[in-house]
Amino acid sequence: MFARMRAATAPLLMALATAIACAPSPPKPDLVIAASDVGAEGVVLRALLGRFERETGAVVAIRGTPDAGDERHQLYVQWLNAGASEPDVLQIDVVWAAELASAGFLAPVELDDDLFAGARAGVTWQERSWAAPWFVDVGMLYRADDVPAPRTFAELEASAGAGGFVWQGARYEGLTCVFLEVLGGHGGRILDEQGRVVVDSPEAIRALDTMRRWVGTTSPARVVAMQEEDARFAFQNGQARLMRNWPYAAALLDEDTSRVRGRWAVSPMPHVEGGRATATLGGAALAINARSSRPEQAARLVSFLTSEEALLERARRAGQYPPRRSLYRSDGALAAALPVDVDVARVIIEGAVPRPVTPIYTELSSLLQVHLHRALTSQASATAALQDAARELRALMDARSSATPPADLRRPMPAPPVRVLLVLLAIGTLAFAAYTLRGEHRVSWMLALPALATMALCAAVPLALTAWESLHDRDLRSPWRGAPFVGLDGYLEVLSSERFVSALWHTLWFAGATVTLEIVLGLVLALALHRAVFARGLVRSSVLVPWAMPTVVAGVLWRFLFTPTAPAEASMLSDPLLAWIPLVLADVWKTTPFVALLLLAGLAGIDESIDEAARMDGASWWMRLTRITLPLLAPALVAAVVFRALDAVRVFDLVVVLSGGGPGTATEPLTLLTFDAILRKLRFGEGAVLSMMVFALTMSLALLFVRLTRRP
Amino acid sequence: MNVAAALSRALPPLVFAALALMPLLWCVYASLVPDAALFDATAAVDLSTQSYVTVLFERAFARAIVSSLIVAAMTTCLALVLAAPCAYSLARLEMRGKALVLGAVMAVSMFPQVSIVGPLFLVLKSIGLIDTRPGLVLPYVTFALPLAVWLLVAFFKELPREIEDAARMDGASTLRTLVSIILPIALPGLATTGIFTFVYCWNELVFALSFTVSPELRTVPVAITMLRGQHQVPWNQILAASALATLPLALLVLVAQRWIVKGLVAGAVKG
Repeated sequence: MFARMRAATAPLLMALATAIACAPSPPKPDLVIAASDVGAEGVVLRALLGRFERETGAVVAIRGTPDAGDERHQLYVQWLNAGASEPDVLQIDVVWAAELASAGFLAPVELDDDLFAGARAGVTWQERSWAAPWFVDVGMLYRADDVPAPRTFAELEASAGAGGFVWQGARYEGLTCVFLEVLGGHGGRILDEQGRVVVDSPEAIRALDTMRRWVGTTSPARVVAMQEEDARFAFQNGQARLMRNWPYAAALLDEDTSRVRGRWAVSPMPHVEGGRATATLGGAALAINARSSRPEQAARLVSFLTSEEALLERARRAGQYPPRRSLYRSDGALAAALPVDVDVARVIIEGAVPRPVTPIYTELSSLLQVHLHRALTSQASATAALQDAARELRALMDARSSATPPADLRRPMPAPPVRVLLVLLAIGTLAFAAYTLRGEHRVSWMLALPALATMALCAAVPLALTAWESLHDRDLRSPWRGAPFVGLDGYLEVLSSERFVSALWHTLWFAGATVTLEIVLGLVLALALHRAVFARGLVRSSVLVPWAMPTVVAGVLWRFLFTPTAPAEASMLSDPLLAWIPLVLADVWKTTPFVALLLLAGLAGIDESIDEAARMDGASWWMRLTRITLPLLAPALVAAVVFRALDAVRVFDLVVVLSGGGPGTATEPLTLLTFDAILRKLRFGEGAVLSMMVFALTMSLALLFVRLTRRP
Repeated sequence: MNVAAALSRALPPLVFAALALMPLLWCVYASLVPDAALFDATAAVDLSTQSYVTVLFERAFARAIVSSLIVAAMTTCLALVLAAPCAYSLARLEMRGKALVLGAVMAVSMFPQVSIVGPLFLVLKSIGLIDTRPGLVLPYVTFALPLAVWLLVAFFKELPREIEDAARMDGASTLRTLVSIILPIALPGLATTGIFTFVYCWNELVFALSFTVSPELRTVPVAITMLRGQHQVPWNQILAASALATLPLALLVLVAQRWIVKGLVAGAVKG
């Protein structure tokens, strides 16, 4: 008997031991840089770092981070907020500079004079520079080379014809960038010199009206669901003759599969008569972690990587535009390296403006995106949308600018992990309490304790931290305000916000719709499978595949299925109501099999003879289903509803990948709002409140179901 | 039974199976088509497996698959080791505050993952587990436990009590009864629970993205997000990666569907 027990536990113990032994212990580098390490960028970065190591003798490690902006931002915030001294150097999007600086995460850097004005302005906040521009991204107009460069918007409309101009109109950062360019072309701005909100100016309204007019005429209707790649494929497949895009597209347009290979050109974005061509300035910069243990070496690495020679190398191998003005000479090395005319590139970059440099940029932009998108998808007029946007932006600026940052932005070290120690103490006490119990109570507590301790550490502690945080107004972008205790004010503020209320409705409606459909279809599927005799295993396995598939993958798939390929087709994802169809369909497709299996299991447990007897008595199929099968199936039905409802209320991945919550905020559920608050806006207090709300919602649903099932 | 009747019985399930598999088959097909042709209905299509080669070797997806397998296997073992005794206590033994424990276990599964990721990062960092495999396994185990405990409780309740009583008469301790009597009979339940845990680990993105940094620790969903450029979306690589990510699970499901259903019969219905 004992030998059998050992035989059972030995492999498990061995697995555990290997698990602990497998923990990697890499050699300690002198410097760590967080950057993109894939493709051509990775190759050139590794080559340059090799040279730096030979010159200085320092060992530099690369920490690869995803190129998708949200993911990279999330990682940085987590690392820096935890007070990590690594990475020493970070590749940041220029629009994060002010935000990360205001949070005290960055050390200032010294810049030399050879930079485009816009590139310098983008990383300068409170009169100091917080990152060294690494490469610049500018919005420009790609055109088929038989289309003359349009100078004004009217000329652009004339040469584009119907649906011939594509740009980024989906609700995401790209939309803000395009708007900034059309706005600049009309002579308008988002913030004026004094930092006041002027986004409801007559120029701005004309600009947004122009963009609205394009949708369905000069531009295809589906432009309001387009991101960079959608626009690029429309252009390179010959469906559009004009495209607004970033420099990255150039190299791809010249690949073998492109229909416009060698037959395109770039020019600055058009403007109104008397206006000025405007490009949005983006790109990456290198910042230094304020807690780096080797700040001088880090600064040296930054100046090495942003030296003329290193930037030229980068331009040559990865096609990225250097921020140094002096390199843009038609007789220089850069002319050979770039796929576009170097003089045109210089003109565009000189006319480029940074997006508003403020710690609350991300919040500002996402607010703006919502209203712009509402206007583009005809949910509001341009005037109404911009007035709403301006009102909300002003409120936001007022709320956030009441306290001025101190001269020294460095944050105090976070408190030592006292709370974790407290929890360990609590677990110990629990263990001791269990130990003092007698008889079977003691044994059962001892058996349950390892599982309970794990959950206490990884779930109860974070839950407690969140609950505590929800009573405080912590905003990472203004750490000098501290985290003042606000009690339940945070809850009241959230409850009274319009966006919360609609997100709540979206969540409930999504849960209601998907759960209903899944139960009905699942029941049909289960009944069919129950009677099936042929290839039963195969059928069961194939319906299980969608359930087992990663949600991210399922989201990608369905997004793809709903991406129109014909130019005239409108995307469902750009209609506030129709956008629910792909979402609900994808969820139903993915989880109906699970429901069906639960119900199938229930059907298997029903005594066949009752049904048989009813049939003998001449009961119809419908009678037998509603009077016998369904009542007997009730426990399984309830279990399925509970499972699905709790999951549906917390839907996240699917929405992020499929609709991103758009158009406007028409499909934004509570979890996405929470994500937005915590990881995009860095408003930890508000995020904690929202988390507690989701928790309360799922909890009350669960309790409701428990009560319902107890009654009969 | 005549042919027509047999066919009418066989047909609906086959239709369902086809509907379920269609998007996946389409995904495999699309992964073989070059990006540009995907967005152009009029383009001639040359199928090529280039995207698979690129993803597996140049973009290190093979390593991610191995890494995911290790993490999922470790989590599954650990979750079973922790959940089985806990579930046994809850199902069979007298326990003071049982309702409270059950409530707490269920509450764990009700918190949105997005909001727990920040505080959890701080916790893991303070015990030095960031960017290590155990640092990923620990949260996975935590969030796999509620379902595991719940399924096993239901499963244990179904087992006949007589064998246990006999073992006890013979003087076996509770732990020993559990390990050498109960667990062997409960193997189908353990298998179901294990499969659910495995699938959860395989699919999880938010924690994996936040708690691991080193390339050798990257799991499959993280590797898929790394395929995206800042602006560029290499669709056929992403679709190839998606097909590769689904393949092990499709195999698992094919082999284990009988057990999944069996486990659910015990778990879901009588739970």
